[in-house]
Amino acid sequence: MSMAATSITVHGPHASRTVLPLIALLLLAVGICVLRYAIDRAPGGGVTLAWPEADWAVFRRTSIFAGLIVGGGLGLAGGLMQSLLRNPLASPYLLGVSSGAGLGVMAAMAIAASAGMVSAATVDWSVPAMLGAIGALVVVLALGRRNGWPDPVTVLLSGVVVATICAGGMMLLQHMVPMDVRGRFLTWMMGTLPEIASSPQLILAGVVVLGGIVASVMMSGWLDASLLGDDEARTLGVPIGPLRLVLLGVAGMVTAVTVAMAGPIGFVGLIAPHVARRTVGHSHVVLLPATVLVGVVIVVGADAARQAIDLGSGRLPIGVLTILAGGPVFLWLLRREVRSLEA
Amino acid sequence: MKLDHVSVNLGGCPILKDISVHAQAGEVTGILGPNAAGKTTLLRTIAGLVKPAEGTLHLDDQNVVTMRAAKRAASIGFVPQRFRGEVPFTVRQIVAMGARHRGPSEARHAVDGALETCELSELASRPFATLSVGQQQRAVIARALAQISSPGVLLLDEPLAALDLRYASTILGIIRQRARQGDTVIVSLHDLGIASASCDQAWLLSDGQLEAAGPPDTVLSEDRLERVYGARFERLQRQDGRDWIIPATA
Repeated sequence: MSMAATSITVHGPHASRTVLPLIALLLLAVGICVLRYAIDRAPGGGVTLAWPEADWAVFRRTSIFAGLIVGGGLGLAGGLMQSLLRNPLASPYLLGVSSGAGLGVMAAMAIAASAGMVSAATVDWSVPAMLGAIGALVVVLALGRRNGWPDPVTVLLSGVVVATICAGGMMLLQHMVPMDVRGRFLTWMMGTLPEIASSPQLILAGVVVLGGIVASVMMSGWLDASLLGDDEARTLGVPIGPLRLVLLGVAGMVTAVTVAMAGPIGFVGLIAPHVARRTVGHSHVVLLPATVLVGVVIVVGADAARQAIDLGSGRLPIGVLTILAGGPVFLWLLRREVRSLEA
Repeated sequence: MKLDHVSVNLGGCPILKDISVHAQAGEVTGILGPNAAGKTTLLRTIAGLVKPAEGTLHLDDQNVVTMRAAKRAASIGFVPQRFRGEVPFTVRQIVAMGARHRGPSEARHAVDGALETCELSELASRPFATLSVGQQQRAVIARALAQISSPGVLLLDEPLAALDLRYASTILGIIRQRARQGDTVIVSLHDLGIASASCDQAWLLSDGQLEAAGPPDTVLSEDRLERVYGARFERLQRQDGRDWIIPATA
């Protein structure tokens, strides 16, 4: 592990080019969290900035903590996926995790509807979401093997097909349940940071994401070498098959935790690594913490923004904001990237 | 490095058949043969990248196949014929990847030394992707030099393919220097002239089988070359007494 942990960038001559932007990202994330803690929409419709009263503070803290877990988790999982699959279009959801979670929730809703329980507003769907997500992850990793270990192309194809099958299952179940259940499911699919969550749930999710970050950063040297290609990485002593299995498992579990907590929130895992790469470069020892911070900035920032946006139909689901804002940002990044490659 | 009855199958096809041979420390051994003879597969097998279907490979009594990955990386460096050119790191970072198993100061020393040896010190901060193929080739060779601790095994697959005359000469000099330091150097070559002039031993492969092994002058006999390559060669005498083999003109 010592070999894997050795950085190739921060000890180099350009440490200031990577460490300083990382500190700037950290300060930005802290600032966004403070903004989210203070921002509120007054009953009259105006936006106010003030520390919340004690009664409300717990909801804000829960929401921020969930944003840290979800944003950081999706950022980390996206960074891992793009590096492990050597594909800049890879996102955490390519492992079929969100579709698996969706199928789990939809199946649970269908069962609850048949038992007359689904209308209860306090039903917690995180357990079926987690079960569905892990189930899909296990199937994708089992089918995506070549010579016994995960293979990038096979994992991608397996993930796409498993996600499609899960989507088919979701559509079938939606067709079978009453309209109000369908509505509840669609709301869940749009993604929302919870303002109410039990401490054990938050702590467990936090430990999974934090453990994922630590494990990934410890293997950052191996991840750098893996970008050279499988053969070259192996001649440098990188156990490429086990590395992919472990870190795809980490990405999948972290994603499963985030989906169980907040539903599928799109684009964060796709965009965060791109922004992080432009900010701190490609060396994973700084790139992975940077993707985590960018993910936090996006998710907590979107949660703060939705407090200020009033379209007269209640607060926007966070997933709608991240997709509508993230899509154009991604296209802008893409054009910048293409222009930089043009002669 | 000792190979004992090594056979390799890829995709169900036999690529190497019952190869038994050994390479000495302190010598440069050339792997020769026509296209598809199995040269690259043999090097990849020695590097531990391909598992033999039969037979064993030993480095100082240690089985290469079962050797720990980190130990193998410190002992065996491999320069592939083809590599990804679009990797997002600088030349120094690429070379430093070879030295990651060393301590920080030892790694810095090994990286600086390898960059200097391969005449890359001035390009150290350049992004690897912006280099010419020849410069990239030298950076990959420098990484292998920074990787192995002498006495180790240096494997090079067609290392001169992308290099001009000057740098080909530089790399041949480096190869000879590493052999003098006690490394086992095994290099696949297409140019029989360079092989006969630069190698102490030659392994001639044909259709996955070892046709002959020994000093180049004895292995590269005209009748054997004609049989293996299906072409005629001319043998010229160099001033140092070694042979220079070139394809015969019609």
